[in-house]
Amino acid sequence: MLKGLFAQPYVKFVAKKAVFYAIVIIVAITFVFLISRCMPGSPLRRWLAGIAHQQGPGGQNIEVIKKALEEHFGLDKPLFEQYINFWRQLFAGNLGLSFAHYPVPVVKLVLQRLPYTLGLVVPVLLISFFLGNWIGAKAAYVGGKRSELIYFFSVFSNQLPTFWFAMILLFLLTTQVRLFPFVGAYSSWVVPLEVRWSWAAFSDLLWHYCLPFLALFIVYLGGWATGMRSMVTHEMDSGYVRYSDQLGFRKSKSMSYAKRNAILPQFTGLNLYLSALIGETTVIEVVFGWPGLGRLMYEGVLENDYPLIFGGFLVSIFVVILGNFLVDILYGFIDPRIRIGQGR
Amino acid sequence: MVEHLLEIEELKGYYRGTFGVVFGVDGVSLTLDSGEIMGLAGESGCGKSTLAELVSGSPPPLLHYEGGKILVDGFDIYHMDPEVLRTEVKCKRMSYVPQASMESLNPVKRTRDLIMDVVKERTGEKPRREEVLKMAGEHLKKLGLESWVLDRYSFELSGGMKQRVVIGISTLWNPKLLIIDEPTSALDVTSQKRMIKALLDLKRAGITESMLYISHDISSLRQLCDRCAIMYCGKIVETGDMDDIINNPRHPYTEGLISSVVSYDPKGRVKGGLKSIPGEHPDLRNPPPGCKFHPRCPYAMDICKTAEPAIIEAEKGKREFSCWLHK
Amino acid sequence: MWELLRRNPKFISGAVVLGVIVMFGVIGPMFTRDPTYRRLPISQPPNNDFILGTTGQGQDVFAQLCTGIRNSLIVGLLSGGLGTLIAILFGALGAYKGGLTDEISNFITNIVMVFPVFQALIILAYVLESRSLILVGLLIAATGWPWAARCIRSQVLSLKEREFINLARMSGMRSIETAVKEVLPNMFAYILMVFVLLSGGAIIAEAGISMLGLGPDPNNNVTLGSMLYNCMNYYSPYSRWTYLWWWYLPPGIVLTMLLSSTFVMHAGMDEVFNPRLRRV
Repeated sequence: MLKGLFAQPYVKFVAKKAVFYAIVIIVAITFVFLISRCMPGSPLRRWLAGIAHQQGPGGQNIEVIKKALEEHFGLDKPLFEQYINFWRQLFAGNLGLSFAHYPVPVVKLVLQRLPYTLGLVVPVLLISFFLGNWIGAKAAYVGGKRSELIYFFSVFSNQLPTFWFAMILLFLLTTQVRLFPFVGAYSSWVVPLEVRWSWAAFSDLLWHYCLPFLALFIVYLGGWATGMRSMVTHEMDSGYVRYSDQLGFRKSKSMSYAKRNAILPQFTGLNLYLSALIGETTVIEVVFGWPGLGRLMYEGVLENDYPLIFGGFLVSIFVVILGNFLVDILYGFIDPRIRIGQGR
Repeated sequence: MVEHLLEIEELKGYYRGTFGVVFGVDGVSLTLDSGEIMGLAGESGCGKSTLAELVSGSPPPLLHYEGGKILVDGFDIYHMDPEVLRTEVKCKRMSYVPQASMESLNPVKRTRDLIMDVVKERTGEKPRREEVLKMAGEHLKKLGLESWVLDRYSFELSGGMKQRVVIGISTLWNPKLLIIDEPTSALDVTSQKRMIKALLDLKRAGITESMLYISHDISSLRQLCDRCAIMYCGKIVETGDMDDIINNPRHPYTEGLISSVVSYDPKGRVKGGLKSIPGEHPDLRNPPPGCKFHPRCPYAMDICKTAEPAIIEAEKGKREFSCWLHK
Repeated sequence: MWELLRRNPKFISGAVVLGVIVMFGVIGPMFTRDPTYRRLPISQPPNNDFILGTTGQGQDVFAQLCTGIRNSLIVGLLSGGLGTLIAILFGALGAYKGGLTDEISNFITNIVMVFPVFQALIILAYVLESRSLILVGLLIAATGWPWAARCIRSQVLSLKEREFINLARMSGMRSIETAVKEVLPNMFAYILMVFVLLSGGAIIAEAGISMLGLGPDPNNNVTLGSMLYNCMNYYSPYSRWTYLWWWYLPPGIVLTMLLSSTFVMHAGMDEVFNPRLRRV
């Protein structure tokens, strides 16, 4: 029975993708491990340098501290053993303890901040995908002067660096016109949602959410619109659309044929945009003071908190890989050529 | 009472683009009566597909209608309300089966969904699913296709099957005129035979009355067509009954075409050797002056280089050709 | 081909804008003050002495802009060039040879493609303590090449099928010869487009990573990104950074113009080289 299941082209497709992404995870984890252990100088060095700097002369003997920490973190064992331990810890859900916020585990910090990042990334990605593709298709369908204008505007907005656009938004909408707050996710008198849920806190959050969302959304909207417009224009020339025209279809129905085929390649764009978006969101979080995963990593960089940096990186990779995997299997389902296989 | 089913008068259609102007169809006149299968023959690039696309009423974006009349069952295609064209003429009175029918089926729809869409679009109402599928299955059977074809996506079908599905969809409403563009060029010999048989069956079953069959393959034209028109360089150079054209070609180009097909004598040996027409079909951006065929014509005379020959009607509407040889 | 390109309005307008910006970057620094000099009156809006005003730390914004353009361009072009080479290696080689080579290079391309590029940049930049322009350029190249390799691969694959390759092979040319004499000239236009796009992307990536303070050492190198970084981190009891519009608007405008001009050039080149898009 299992054999029959695997004979299905779609199941084979999903399995192949799963294996691929598993390999990527392994590569990523190994990459993180190697970088963190083989950094120039011991990983503790910079943090210790920071402490020594703070304490000044007469502070505790740095060497002693270093030895104790190394033992504690298992940094004095041979490399391969460290590698195995690394994996063991990962499976236990242990990403280490943060240096700067010692002894809070990295996992806790990361999971606390992750929803804020996802709250930006997922809506931006999905809404810009649907709205942008719709705009692009409409522009291709209608044609004419308005379409050219929309195209020009989309291209332009897509070229804006999101972080700079964020700065412009801040300039226009927080200082010139006091419409939105300047920084952070909550006003200072509000209790954050992770501590306690309240409608007041939620609406405050939404108010703070608008600008970061817009900064990302408008730029990505342009990207989808541009791409979809050229895809639809290309499909409109294809054999089956012209044939449907010759059969006497209404223009709107022929267009829906073109759109349905044009949107398929856009899904690959979804994967690329997801990876790019995670990166851009990091900078946006820093500009707006939005307490997400990217900002956490930034803070970690400032404080030389290396378990936090690498832990955050690992979680980002997991999120991206998971997202890519989901998009891939969704695409495989929607495109009948993959779902059914190429047949005879 | 309409005189001819299809009447084309001095039709002109040019391609316009950044490459310049291509004189695809440059003054073509043709008539086709009910019950006839008319062939349209010529080399690649002579304008046959262009002519077909113009007659179908949906020319591709770069092709522009430049003048002349096309009357399908009395309807002047290029001087009528497009909505009436869509509902009354297309698919009902005239249907077009494009070249490379493989590309004509939406890759993400099953055949049955495609047919449902066609019915919905043309009748303007939502039909009962079982009725449509039953009707479609019977219709496709006449073309030699089993009912499982309905459940398949286009990429799951072979080339010949896709071709026949397209013909089936085009003939759902028994159009009086069916225009078919080179259905056999992408097929192997056995599939070709099946295709021609299917077309003949269509006529016999009364599904279509007349066909305009476009091909460069003389042998299939011979099997299928009652009459034939030969096209060269955007113009029609000879028209007549199929047998008459083959046995008694009047235009030098037709002569060359016929003799370039291998024929066997009763003993199975190749008869007469292989002949071909020297040179290449001219670029339609820059057709030669005078008679368009003169650069390649073995009988070219001085007058051929400067003046286009008039159309000589041996039998009005039935046998026509244009050549300076016959005055 | 080149005449068509020269007459194409999109290509020309894009190239002109790009040329102007590059001119500022190349010639500008020779005529302006030292951009790192810090003793000028602080936070001056544009006036007669300073075309674009001064920063919160007393530096000439215009001088910074010109030097910034130059340094950003250095990073961008270096990164674009290296990235293009890597992309050609992984894209063209595998596609042309086929078989196992193709499988391996495709596999590697796919893996690097899934990595969240920016996060990887953060890690790599953090790990290396002192970062020069060149180093940052290398890093960006190392993470940004996969999509280009994909494009080149598909282009080579489609070219491979064309008749003239088979002709060359049938007439006895060896693989390398065919590759150089027949494939590369056709690919040249495409590779040029890829290079232009990669460089543009690299400039943005550099700006982005500079905004996190992980770019080329801000004390020694002025780039467009470092200008934005310094501006954003400027705190003063008298005004927020948002009021100093002459400081952060110019670098962003230049960035946007750089990207837009490369995109428009790319669209123009596409129109010329892709016959399907030709309409009257």
